[in-house]
Amino acid sequence: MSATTRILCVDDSAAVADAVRCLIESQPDLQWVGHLQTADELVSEAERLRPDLVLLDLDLPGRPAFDALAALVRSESNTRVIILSGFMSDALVDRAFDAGAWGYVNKNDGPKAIISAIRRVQKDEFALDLTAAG
Amino acid sequence: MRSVLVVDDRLSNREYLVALLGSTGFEVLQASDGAQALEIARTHSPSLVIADILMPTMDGYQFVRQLRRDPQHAGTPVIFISGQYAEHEARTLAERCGVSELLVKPVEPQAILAAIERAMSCGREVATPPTQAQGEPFERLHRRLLIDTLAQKAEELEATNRRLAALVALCRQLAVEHEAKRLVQVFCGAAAEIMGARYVMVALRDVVGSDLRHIVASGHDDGMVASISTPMAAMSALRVESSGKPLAIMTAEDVIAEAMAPAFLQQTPFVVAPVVTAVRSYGALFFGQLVGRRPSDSSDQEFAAMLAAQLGIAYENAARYEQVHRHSEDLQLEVGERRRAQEEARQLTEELECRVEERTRALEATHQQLRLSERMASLGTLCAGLGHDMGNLLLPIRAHLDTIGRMGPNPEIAPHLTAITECVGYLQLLTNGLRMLSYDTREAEGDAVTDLESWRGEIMPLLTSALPGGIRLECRFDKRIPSVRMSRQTLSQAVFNIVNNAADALRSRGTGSIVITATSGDGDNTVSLQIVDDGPGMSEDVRARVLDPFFTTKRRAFSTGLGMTLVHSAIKKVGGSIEIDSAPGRGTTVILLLPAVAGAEDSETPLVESKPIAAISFRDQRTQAIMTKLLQSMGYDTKPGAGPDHERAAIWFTEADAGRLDAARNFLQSRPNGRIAVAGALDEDWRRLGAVHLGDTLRPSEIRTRLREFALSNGSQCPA
Repeated sequence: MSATTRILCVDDSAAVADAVRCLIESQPDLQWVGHLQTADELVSEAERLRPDLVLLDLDLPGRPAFDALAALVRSESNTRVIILSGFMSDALVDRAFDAGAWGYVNKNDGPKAIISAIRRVQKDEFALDLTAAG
Repeated sequence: MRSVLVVDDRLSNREYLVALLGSTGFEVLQASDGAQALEIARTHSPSLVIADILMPTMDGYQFVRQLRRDPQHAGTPVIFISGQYAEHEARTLAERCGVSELLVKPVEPQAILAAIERAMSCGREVATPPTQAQGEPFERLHRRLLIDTLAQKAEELEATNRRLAALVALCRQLAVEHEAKRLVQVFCGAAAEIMGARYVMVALRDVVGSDLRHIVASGHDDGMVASISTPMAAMSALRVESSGKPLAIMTAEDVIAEAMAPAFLQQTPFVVAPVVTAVRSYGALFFGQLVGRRPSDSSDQEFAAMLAAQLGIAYENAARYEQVHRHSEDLQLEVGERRRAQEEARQLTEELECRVEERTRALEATHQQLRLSERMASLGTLCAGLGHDMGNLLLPIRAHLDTIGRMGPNPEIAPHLTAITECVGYLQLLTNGLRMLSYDTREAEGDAVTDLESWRGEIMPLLTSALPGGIRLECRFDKRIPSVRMSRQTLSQAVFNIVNNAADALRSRGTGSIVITATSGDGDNTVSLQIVDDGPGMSEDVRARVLDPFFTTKRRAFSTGLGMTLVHSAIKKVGGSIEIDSAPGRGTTVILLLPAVAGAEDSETPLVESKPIAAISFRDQRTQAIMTKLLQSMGYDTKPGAGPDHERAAIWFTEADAGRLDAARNFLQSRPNGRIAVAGALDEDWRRLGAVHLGDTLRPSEIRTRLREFALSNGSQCPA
């Protein structure tokens, strides 16, 4: 990964996207590259915007998030994806594992958890608090 | 027409002769005594007179003497038919009064007809009038004969009386004897005496069927006793049974004539009588060696017939009695059985009612639970949406608050910011609670297992830090407590909630103690985790509602009222249960009964004390990262970049790649307790290594499932 980590946020909630932008912009080594309200154009937008990391919500209108994630992995993009969802369960974590995600963060764990997850993936670690997932 | 005068006091005798003479062409005249006969003789002048001797009013001798005195009828031929008394004297008297023919009863018809012919052919010349000069005077002779006859009659009468008395006694005995075998024995003894027989034998068939059932002998002839079929053989030889009448055999010649077995030779004279009733024929009664019998004596046969009839009736009655008795016994048995069956049926009914009642109660409970879970499900859906939306709102609020916080201190807005942050904290708490309510713990729990010893190490500092000063927390666990089938997080949340409630109850007093104990029970199938406080306790009303959603005794700002509901639902979902024992002034005890992992106590090494070092080698960077994350969560020490050459690595997690075979062999050779866990399709070489197989694919979810199975089968979370 380059010195600056470029981050794209996919969330149908403008408020969440706005909050994530605030978080990203508070960190000097992180760069906000944009926001998608659906995952419909994820593969093409990722190609265009070339983010290092995508924060992907699961509860989206349009194309299912896991579907878009798998397509992104198949496109041999170097972009890594962290799931950022208000829901979390073992089954969802397993689906994220298999779809090719690099992490899973619960929105309810707060802003710090998001930053911490980004840091982990930057260090090639999988971003997941397993005790929280059960 | 020639006529015959028949003189006899017995009508039956006269009728017999009338019938006999009817075929001879005689006109038959009748008289019932000597006087009447004399009158008829004088008026009718019969060609022949057949007279009995002993008759009332005027006997046969007197009648003949009177007749002989009448010159007109003196030559009428007379035949005497008499009983067998003093035959010699009777003959002498008959001759004295000019009667040449004297027949002794019983007399065959041919003998009578022959005597008639003889008397008729001699005609009147034969009769010689009686003369006083010949021998003893007739009168004296006649008197003596009468006296002798009377004496003999008296003797016979006495003997008959004795027999009758014995018979009556026997009948009485037979009447009271109900057992067939004893009855036959009693009969045999008595019958021998009644009949004057040296030998008595009875053979009787079963009352139903044709089997010989009773063969009883009385007497001392061993030879005959040995030949037990004798009465039946005799009966069949003599065809007694078919005739239904007794038969007397007087001499050995008769036995030979009848072609009977030689054994019967010694038994003469004997009588065989069939034992017959109105219902059926039962067998035979045999009287052997009848002492001093005359062939003319028919009373033996009559007695034998009578005895046989009595025996038949008594035997039949006894058999019937036995049958009735058996039936009554059977009936009593049946009644007893029926009573028992009724009792059983009653008990069954009671049991059934009990079970129906139980089942109804269970159904009602299930129904109630269903209603509750329906409510909970709709509540869960609501909570899920609400939790999600609130989470989506809270994240930006918290992010913006953080941003404001980073803008540097501003005394004017700082207190407002603190207030907002506090409110958001509470909202986040509520949201987390809502999320938990919507959370399907069954899915989340999976096969999660928590080692209580290591859990205790983690939770105690957390709990202690959360408690206000003055409240003491103590932990007492059984040695080698089994692991529980529940995730660490859920268990922590549950205990955290309960301890917090206890602390809240103690807060007003400022001091108190909370004790957490863990004991294994129920054959190590459950672990009982008890949280005991010495606080003020709860009223019955509070205790009953404490698990209800949104029930709280605290100020709303500090409590969501969901804590205990969440604890309850989490515990129930892993198959455990929760009990609350509390009363005002007595403190509160919350008991969590949790399913234990069998055999977990065998894992001797506490994971926390010495974590096994795992070497992890996967080509794919992400898979390597996931494996590291998973193995860390399972209690392994995952040294960054540690490969199979790491000197302290106890287990190597890798993928089935031919290029890694040598390294794998070396790994195992250099470590006597070393193990290898491998993902991907295995060939023979990998199989021979005896590696733990983590599945044919490198799919992380599959590897995770295999890791869990492996950890469970080893009774711990750690495959090492």
